Amino acid sequence: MSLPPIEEIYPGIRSRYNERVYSVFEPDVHGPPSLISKQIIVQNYCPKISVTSTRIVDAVASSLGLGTFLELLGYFEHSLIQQDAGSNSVGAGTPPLRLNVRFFKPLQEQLKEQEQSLKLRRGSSGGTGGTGSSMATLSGSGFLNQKFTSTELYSLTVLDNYVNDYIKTIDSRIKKCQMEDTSGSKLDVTLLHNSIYLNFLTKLISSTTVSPFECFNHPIIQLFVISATDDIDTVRDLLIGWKNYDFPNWIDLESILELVLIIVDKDVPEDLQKGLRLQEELKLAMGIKSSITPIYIPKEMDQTTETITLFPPMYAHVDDDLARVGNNTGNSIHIPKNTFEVLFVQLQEIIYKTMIPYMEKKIRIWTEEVVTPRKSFTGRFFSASKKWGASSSSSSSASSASTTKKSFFSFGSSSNEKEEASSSSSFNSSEGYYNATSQEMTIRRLGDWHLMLRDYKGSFTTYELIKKDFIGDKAYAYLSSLQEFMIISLLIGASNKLNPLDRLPSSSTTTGGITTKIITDVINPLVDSTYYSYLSRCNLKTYTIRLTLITAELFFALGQSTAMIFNSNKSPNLHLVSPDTYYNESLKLFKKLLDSKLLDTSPNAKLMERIACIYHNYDKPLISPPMEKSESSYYETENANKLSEPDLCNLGRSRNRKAMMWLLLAAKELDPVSKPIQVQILVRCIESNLLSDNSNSLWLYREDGLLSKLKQSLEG
Amino acid sequence: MSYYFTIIGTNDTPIYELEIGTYKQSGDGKPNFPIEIKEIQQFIVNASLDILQDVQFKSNQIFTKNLDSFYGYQIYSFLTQGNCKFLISTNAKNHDESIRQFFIEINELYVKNLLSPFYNLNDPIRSTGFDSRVRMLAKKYL
Repeated sequence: MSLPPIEEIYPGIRSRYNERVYSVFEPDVHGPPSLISKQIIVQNYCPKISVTSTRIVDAVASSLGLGTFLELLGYFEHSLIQQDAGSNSVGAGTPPLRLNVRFFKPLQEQLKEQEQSLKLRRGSSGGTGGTGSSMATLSGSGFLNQKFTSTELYSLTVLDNYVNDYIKTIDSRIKKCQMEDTSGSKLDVTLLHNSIYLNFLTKLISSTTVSPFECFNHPIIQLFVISATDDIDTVRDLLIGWKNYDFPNWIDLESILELVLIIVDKDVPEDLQKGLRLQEELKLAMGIKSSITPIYIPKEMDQTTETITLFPPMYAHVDDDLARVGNNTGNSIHIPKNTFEVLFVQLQEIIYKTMIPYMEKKIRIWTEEVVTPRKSFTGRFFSASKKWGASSSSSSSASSASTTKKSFFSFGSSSNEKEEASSSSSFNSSEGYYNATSQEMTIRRLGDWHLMLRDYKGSFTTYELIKKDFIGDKAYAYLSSLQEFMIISLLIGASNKLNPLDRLPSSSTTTGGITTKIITDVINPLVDSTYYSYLSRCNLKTYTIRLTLITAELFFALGQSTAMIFNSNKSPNLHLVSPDTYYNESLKLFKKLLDSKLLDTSPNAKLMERIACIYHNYDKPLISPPMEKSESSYYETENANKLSEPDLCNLGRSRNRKAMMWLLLAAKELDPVSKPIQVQILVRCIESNLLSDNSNSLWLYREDGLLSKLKQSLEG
Repeated sequence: MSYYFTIIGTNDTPIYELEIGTYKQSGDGKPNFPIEIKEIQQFIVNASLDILQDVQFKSNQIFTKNLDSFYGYQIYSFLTQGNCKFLISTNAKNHDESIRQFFIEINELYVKNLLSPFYNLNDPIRSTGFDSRVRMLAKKYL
């Protein structure tokens, strides 16, 4: 009996992009190529669409075997990701060719859930809880007034369970593959083994948590999906319910585009008429534009219907994934091909014809309204005057918005006086958030939108504008998040210029990447201060993990890309930093994350494996100029004591022995009793490395050594 | 404070090993490595050979302090003229100079051992005389 394809377990395992990467980097059991992890990071920061649907529409989804329409849309995320084959468009302002989106539950529900988990967290840490105690110790630092308003990205215990469950699934599949023992199954084992890390990375960085200090999870579009058979009152209730909901002040409803999608059953002729009527009514009664999608709704799935297989969303929240596993709903669903095509085209239209133009328009408006005045000379002058003028009032009471002492330097600002007064104290320090309409948040949103549209230069320069404001207001959560994304923009921007998948311009001088000076002077201090700020000032563990992991991965991606380009391009115009510099930075961060003890054993073991993978890649690709073998003399052939000449080109570049040590540590952390298959893979990896090493490795197999202990417990 | 000392032959295999504790600061000379370190001690030292291979042609020094480190354990190395390596892994701090002296004396012992007509290059050193002399040196310097 043939096994189901491995895509059932990890959908993106053989995506078009991954295939392109694997054509450059051979699949290796040590770990997936860093370009794949980079793509996961890039795609994680995509625009979000929150979806609200009526009961009738949900019933359509249930006829396809799903609970809600949102779930159905979730299954389209993967198809959108598949379209992105990773071609970079670096130019500012030009949208990338293909963009993925993620579908979220309605904002109200999300906020309610967060509130509940926050209550639980406060309750579990005893009344005022851990946050209270951390506030007390920080009295006088400005944090005292900051109320705890932010939720973690996910629960760390749930994540650990998830990783363990996933490893179990992979192990049972690997066992079956090992029985087959063909070359194809060997490749499958490698890919499956690598998918554990990729999945773990995806879950560690993605989340649905809406936070006040970053806008990535604030939806760009609020999509209302209604059916043609819905009456106007239901739709009105839906829309009014959304508009009248008491959203917190840090959510800017004005930047969320409302869209209505009317689903029409293709098989029912009068449905289209109803849909058109509803569309007209909506336009007249509420002034809302809507679009109609006639889809084929299957009443009964029979054998003759041509179906298409869809996979669950890669970036789904850990809880959702666990729920799916718990419900035994399986991974993939089959829906009729024509239903898929119509909906997919509609989604693409929403993304490319509505969302992206909307985002670009907003970006233009915000740039003109907020960024240009700040950048101009007069703007800078007045902002300085504002700072000096407002300092006396802000130090005495930051929350008093109305008390603005007029300084000498505030002359000439009379026309904007009101606006200036409000913006000078837009940070609500008693509650710890910025108002969504404040200048700072508009700029932050602008930066985030730049990043979502993959304009990393634009996002970096935008973020830079407000850094000082956040420092001045002592808004540490805002500052840490801002700095985190400054680092991300810088690193992704740099590594996009050095993409081994793209053809490099051979004639021009290539100085892509970032210099050692930028790393030591800009990135490292930013990472350190952000790490401290997230962990100690804000007590946000998951954000700390995300920061460290993303930065480390991006450094690794830079290193691997640089090494690849070094090897393929021998042009004298190439001025690049040695890949070792990037590898070292990456290793430092991975070890920092390990030492922070924020993660449990299985995730830690995966981090150790990643460290081993970096060490393993130190000398890859090998420099191999055609070495002319001189005819060996008598001394070399007959004299056993003669030193053999090593491969001089690659001498000292390899870190394979380091990689072996970290693999061993990872195997120990994984525990041979509970996860024998994983440990077996790692031990085999170590042994194959030992075999390729010419030296005698008997001393590494000592009886009291870890390697033989692991082997014994595997055999036992 | 404990020391793990090993001599690595030219083919990167060990030819002599010694685990010893300090006699200074009222130590009894017995090593007390924690079990987590003891079971991967060989791997730690083996891994540092990668770094040594990298740095040995970049600088003209034969003694390298802080060649590598692993959770509080520092690796010191000494290269002989014949590309044989002496390595020490220890948790002792600020003993650079005494470790260097120790290596220099060991080098002398090693060269004398090499002169023996009954000893071939890269063979394990099984001589008890050598061992007791190394222990004496360790007592003196470490």
